[in-house]
Order: sequence, then structure tokens, then C-alpha cells
Amino acid sequence: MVRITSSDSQEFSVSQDIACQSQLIKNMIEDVGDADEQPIPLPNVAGAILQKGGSCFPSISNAPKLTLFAVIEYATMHKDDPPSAPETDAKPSTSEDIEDRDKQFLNVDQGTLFEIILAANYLDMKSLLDVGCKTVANMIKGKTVEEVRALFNIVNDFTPEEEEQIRKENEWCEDR
Amino acid sequence: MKRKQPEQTSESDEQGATPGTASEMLSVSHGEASTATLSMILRALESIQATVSAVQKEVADMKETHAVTHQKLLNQVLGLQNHHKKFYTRLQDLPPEVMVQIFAWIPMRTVFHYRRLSKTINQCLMTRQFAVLNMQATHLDNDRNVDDIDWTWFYLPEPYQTVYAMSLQQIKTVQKVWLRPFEPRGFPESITRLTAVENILLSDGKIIGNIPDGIGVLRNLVHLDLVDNSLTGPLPRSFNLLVALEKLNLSKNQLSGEFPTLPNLHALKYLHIDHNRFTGPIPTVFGNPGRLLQLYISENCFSVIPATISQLTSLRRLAICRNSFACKIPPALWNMTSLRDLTMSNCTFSGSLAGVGNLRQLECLDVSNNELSGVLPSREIRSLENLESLHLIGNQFSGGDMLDMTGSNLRTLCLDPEIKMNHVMWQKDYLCPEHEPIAYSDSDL
Repeated sequence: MVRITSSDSQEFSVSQDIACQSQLIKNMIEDVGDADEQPIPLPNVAGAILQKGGSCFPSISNAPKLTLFAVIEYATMHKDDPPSAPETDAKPSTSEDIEDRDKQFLNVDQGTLFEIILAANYLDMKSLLDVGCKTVANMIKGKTVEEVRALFNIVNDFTPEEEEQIRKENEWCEDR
Repeated sequence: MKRKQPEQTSESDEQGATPGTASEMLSVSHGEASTATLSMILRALESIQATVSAVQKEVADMKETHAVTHQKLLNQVLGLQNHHKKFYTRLQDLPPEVMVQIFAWIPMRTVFHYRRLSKTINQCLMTRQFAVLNMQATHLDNDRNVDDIDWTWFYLPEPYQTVYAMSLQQIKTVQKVWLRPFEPRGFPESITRLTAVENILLSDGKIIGNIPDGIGVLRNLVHLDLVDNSLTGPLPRSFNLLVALEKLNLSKNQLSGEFPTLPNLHALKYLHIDHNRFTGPIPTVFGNPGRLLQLYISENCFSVIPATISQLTSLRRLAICRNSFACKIPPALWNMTSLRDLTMSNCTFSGSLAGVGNLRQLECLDVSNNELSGVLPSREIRSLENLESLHLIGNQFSGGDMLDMTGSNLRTLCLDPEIKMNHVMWQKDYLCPEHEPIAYSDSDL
């Protein structure tokens, strides 16, 4: 078992094969060895206030997840996956290629989704990062700039001239 | 805060007033020397001082309380902010390396719409790192087996173009397959990274500016077609490095300067540079001049036909209309016995047409609108058995033997009426449409 602690000092005990889906943790364990009984601190991954409802509380399954808890949940779900194929013979994939269980897992509010993505990035978990990024990409795809701004609360910080310049440079791909 | 101000004022009033009043009382009571009065005054003074210090303490206390309250509120606000940050991370809070991974999943053709979202996002989308990711994720995987690429890549932002070109080093053909009324653009330098490319087919593409010198690195280039763009400036010398080139088609641009000699181009068969602004001698120097089949240089500003033109021994089509040579037809021309089509209208040629009979294979002869004179070489013309089209209009020929074209293959005859009436026999009705240069043909003959 590996002990890890979140930024708000919550401690989790997980089996090594689950923890090692994080390249970061894997490297740490390899560096210090099993003998070290110290919990591994993950200062960049917040615990949280609300635990995921899951099957017990289906009505609040969209509530903010406990980030580290959620990441562990994902890792547990995928612990039996075959190791990812080398980059070279990776099959063509699109952002639509998301497993149903992952879709369900990432059916959360934006804040949580971005937290999970950040955690996956920090913990170096490529498959989770990919699936998270795909999910956001799918939210963006097919929407106009204005719709995306509204959806993610993005402030347009261009001057009208700057925006017009980009519009001009983009002429070849606009209105399609 | 508001209460403090009046407090301070009254306090200083008291302090200022008290000594004055006391000394007054002292001076008044001096005569009587009443110790009772004096002690009474001192007591009064003491009590006043006590009041003052009490007020001062009260003010200090209030200041402290206020500071504490302020700190508390500030903490609460910060707490709220942190809370918000902790549990509501927004898209634009993500670091650039994550942002690019999200947008990488959006196909290349549409992802650039989102440059307008915000400055940060625009910056992310304009990096090479993003270009690499985006192509890996959405483009190359789908197009890896396609042998030619889409013209639209010239309109990609520069970093993207470069990465794209580098990743497509094995590509054989750059082709315009999707045409839109684009903004004009310069010749994409990044094309020079496509070292395996064999065909660059970008006609009618609104390309402006010079052809970059770097094009010389494309040693495998066989066919370069840039017809009907807005290219300007001279042709770079590095064209001489395009050793595999067979077809060079630069018609309908605004290229200028002297056409470079191309002694390393041993494979060149087709050279189309009509409708430009080239000057000097017409191009005749090639690695293997005997290989050239077509030379189209009409509508330029060439002024010299070098004698070396006779080295183009395989040439089948020669079009040199609308250049100003202002000389006699060079005799070397009559040695080019492979010619099928010879069009040289509006070239200010003078002298006679004698010698044309050498061109046994000739199918089309157009010497209209020059200053040719002398007798019509009727016998020579009649000996051209394959002749189908003959344009002699707009010259000063003076008759000569009767040109009997009856029974020949001739289908078009264009002559001044006077000659036609008196010196030509032909069964067909005289039909000469408004004169125009013979249409070019790309057929390989």
C-alpha cells in the first residue's frame, strides 16, 4: 500500500498498482523505495469538502468531487487496462473516442472537471489527462466564439481592432 | 472612523484652553494668595487631565478594534476568494501546457476560430508546441496515407505551417484542392521544407510577391505550376538547382527581369512563362536543350532571339507573340524542323518569310501583325503538307506566285483581302474571325 496526502492533509491509502498509474508517484516510489513509510505529499492536489455521491447519493453525483479521491477512483476503475500502446502505432483517435464509464465519471461541474485535469497533469496520468481534455474539447466543438465565451465565462480582453485583425487572418477558415 | 475626528478636535480644544484659564485664575488670585482657591484649581486641572487621557485611551482602543475588524473582514474576503479558486477553477486558470492539450483535439480547420476567445488562448494556439499536438491529435492520423496535401495549409499561422511542413517531409504533391476567395498571401517559405515534393500545383491562388530563393532546395521537384497568381520580381537564380524539373509553368504573373540561364536543368520539357514582364533574350540555355518540347513566352518584354534557339531541336510548340524584337526573323528559326506550332504575331518582325518551307512538320503558322514584306513564299507554304492553320494578316506581302491550297489540309486561313482575292486559291469560303493568338495546348503531342 502507498500512503498519499492531499494539500489539505487528507491521507489516502491506495494499492501500489493504482497509485503507480501516476507517473509522478511511480517515479517517487522508485526513487525512495518501498521501505519508506512516509506518506507521499501531493501539495498541488487539493482534497475537497464534498465526497462524490456515487451510488449512495445519485442525486448529487454532479456535486464537486474530492479531487484526489476522484483521481483515485479513476485509477481504480482503470487498473486492469492494458498498458498504453507506444505512440508510433497509436490508432487514429478523435475527441469523440471516450469510454462510457469515463464519460460518466467526468460528468461533473466545470470547476471539478478542470481540477481533475490539473491533478492529472500534475500527477502525470496521461490517459486521465487525455480524456479530460477531450471532454472539454467536446464542450467547445461546434460552438461559436461567443457561445464558448459564455459557457466558460471567458472575458474578451481584445480591443476591437485586435479582434478584427485576427478575424481577418482567419478569413480562410471562418464561416465554415 | 467618523467618530474619531470630532473627538480629536475637542481634545485639542481642551488642552489649548486649560492652561490659559488656569494662568488667568492664578494671576487674578495672586493678590489674595488664597491657598484654598489654588488647590481647588489644581484639583480641577488634575481632573481635566484625567479626562483627556481617558479620551485618548478610548480613541486608541477604537483604532485597535477597527483594525481587528478590518483584518477579520479581509480574511473573510480572502477566504471566499480562495474558496472560489479552490472549487471553481475556470478554463482560463489552466496553465498553457494543459490549454494546448484541450484545443489540440479540435480539428485544424476549425480550431483557429477560437483564437478570438482571449489573448491567453490566442497565444496558446499560435505556438509550435500547439501545432505539433494539434496535428498529432486531429490531422496527421487521418491524412497520413494521403500523398498530397491541402492548399489551405498556406493560410495557417506561420509556426503551424513550419511544423506542418516538417511533418510532411515525405509528401509528394502540394496541390490546391479547395479554392476560396482568399486574401492574397506571399509565397509560403515553409514549402521549401518539403524536400520530397515532386509536384507543386498552385495555379490561380492569389500568391503575391517574389518566389523565394530557397525554392532551389527542392531537388525532387518535377512539376511547378504557379499559373495565374500575382508573383512579381525576377526569377531566383536558384531555379538552376531544380535538377529534376520537367514542367515549369509560370504563365500569367508579373515576373520581371532577365530569365536566368538554366544549364543544370537536364530534364526540362515544358517551359511556359507567357504573360509576364520578362526582358532580355528569350530563354534558350538549358542542360539538355534538345529535350524541350514547348516554349511559350508570349506577352512579355523580350527583345532578343539568340541564335542558340536552334539547339532546341525537339521543340514542337513555340509561341513568342507580343514581344518586341524589331528585327528580321532569325534564320536559326528555320532550322527548328520539329516545330508543329509556330505563333509569332505582333513581334515587329520585318523582312521576308522565306525559309519557312524547312519546317516540314508545321501544322500552325501565325505571323500576323508584323512588318513582313516581299513576295509570299507560295511554293514553300504549299509544301507544308500538314498545315492546318495559316495566319498572315497584317503584313505587307506583295503577291508572288499563286498560292494554291486546294486539296490541302488547311482549315483556317487568315489573310489580307487583297492578297486573298488575287493570289490565293482555296475551296473554302474565306473565314477569318477576329484575330487572336492560337490557344495554348498542354497536350503532350
